[in-house]
Amino acid sequence: MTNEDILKLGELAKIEIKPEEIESFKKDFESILGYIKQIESVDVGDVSPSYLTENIAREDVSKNTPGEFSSDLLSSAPNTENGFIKVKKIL
Amino acid sequence: MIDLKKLTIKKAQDGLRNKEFTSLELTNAYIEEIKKTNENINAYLEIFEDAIDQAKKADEIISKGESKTLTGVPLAIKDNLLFKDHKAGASSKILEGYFSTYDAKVIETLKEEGAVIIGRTNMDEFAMGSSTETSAYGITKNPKAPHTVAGGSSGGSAATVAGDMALFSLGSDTGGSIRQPAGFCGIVGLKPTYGTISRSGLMAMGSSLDIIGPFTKSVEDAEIVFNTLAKEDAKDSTCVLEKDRICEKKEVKKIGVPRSFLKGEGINKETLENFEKSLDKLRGLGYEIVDIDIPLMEYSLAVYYVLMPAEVSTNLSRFDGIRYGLSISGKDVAESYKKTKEAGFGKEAKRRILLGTYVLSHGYYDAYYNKAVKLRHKITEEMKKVFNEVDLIATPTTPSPAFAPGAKASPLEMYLSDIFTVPANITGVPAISIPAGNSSEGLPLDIQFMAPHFGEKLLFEVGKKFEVK
Repeated sequence: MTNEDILKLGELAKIEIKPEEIESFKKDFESILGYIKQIESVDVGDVSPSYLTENIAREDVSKNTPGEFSSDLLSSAPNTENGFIKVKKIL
Repeated sequence: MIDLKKLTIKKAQDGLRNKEFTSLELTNAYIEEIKKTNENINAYLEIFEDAIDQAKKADEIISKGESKTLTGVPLAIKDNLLFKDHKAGASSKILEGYFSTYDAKVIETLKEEGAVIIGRTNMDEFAMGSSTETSAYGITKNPKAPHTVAGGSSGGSAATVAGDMALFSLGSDTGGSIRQPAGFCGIVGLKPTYGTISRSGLMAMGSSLDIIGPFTKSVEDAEIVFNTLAKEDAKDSTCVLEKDRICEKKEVKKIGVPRSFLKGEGINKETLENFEKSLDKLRGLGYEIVDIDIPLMEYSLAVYYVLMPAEVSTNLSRFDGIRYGLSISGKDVAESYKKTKEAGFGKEAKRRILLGTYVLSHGYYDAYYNKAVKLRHKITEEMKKVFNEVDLIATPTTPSPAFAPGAKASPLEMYLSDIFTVPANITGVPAISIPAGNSSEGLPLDIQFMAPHFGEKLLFEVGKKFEVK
């Protein structure tokens, strides 16, 4: 892994990486990926990726009254205006 | 005086119903103990202001004769469980000051039961760690040996029970986060079958691995809590319908030991010797102990360290400073995200998010993530096959007894402490950690039993016979 790889991961994950952190992340990832690499050598044959779990879907109907949770949820938001969550301009 | 040391849920129920003590008295006894012990141990992050009111309400229910299984029983919850209008923060700075807006399903059930939720407990940040050292609020010490850690990630919950600061507690287990601290603290920890206890209201870490479970002083208590909480729930789409929770096995005769798996590096000699003693004890109890081979099991930890970070990177993306929690403003939305996450997440959380981003990124997805998913499937099949030959699998829970803070020099070294616990999460089977004596230094040692899916009963059956009363 290069310094650029670490910075790119930070960019993808939207986490700012401080220059002084790069080396230690690199060192950690090299040892962790070195360990993980052992799965490459296992022959799993022709298995299609499957998942252990099955979805249990509930009826797609709302049991709540409009606005029931709005004030609770909005009160958690750091920045609100007129009942909306306020964010910086996106475009 | 109520003897908290010897108290079990059964005894508390009897005491409450026979009016030997009230829930208020019992709750106050725990709060007294917390005042004496918590400053040093740091198990609780907060004692809820309404704990006393909850106890009074429980006493009213009891006096009306409407008592349920856990009415009036004081417990502690891990800081990643939502309890409406109470703080919850997963021991992270990014959720500093956050109040839950709804109840987790387990909290809903505990409220219906009239249980007394005393407070929330310290943990590794977002349940990522094996020692509570990644908590933003300091480490939790092991009440049985305060020079060592309580384990993690549910270290605080383990310490409340081991230090008689709660009669039982709830934790969550993604790779061993209930069983490992239970082992370190010399108490019982249960990781139920995946999908038996609703994850609704549990802050997600690895959604295909996470499960809530109890810390207790006895196997019987673990059984009581499990039976109370294991309800189906439409709010968790991976919660298994109760009618589908079938385990064909009815009793335990044969217990399998995966010998080659115990020969790995870094496994403490005394842990292994003690494990052999535990096997002798099981033989003495009439169980047949046989060697089994699960060749792919040794890859469980590597598989786990692909799948878990992948799920972490997805689940933790929600902490962006927009809807809740810490928010640091940048010049645009993207920069606000980056600054918020930089300041809010600790080193281990960042490490796992970045690692997850890596294994899911273009070019590595097939080599890491897809391969791990396939391997997980294979390991699960092997495990199921082994359960045709044996009824339970036994291993130590932890590869060594509790360590001192700072003892694990690198992240990988810390990760290796989950070597025996991770297979149950990868395959979804239930597992229990039970105390099994002490090391020569007086540190608690443990044994872990794994059962087939939905075979909790088998764990309880053997556990009750095995545990020292």
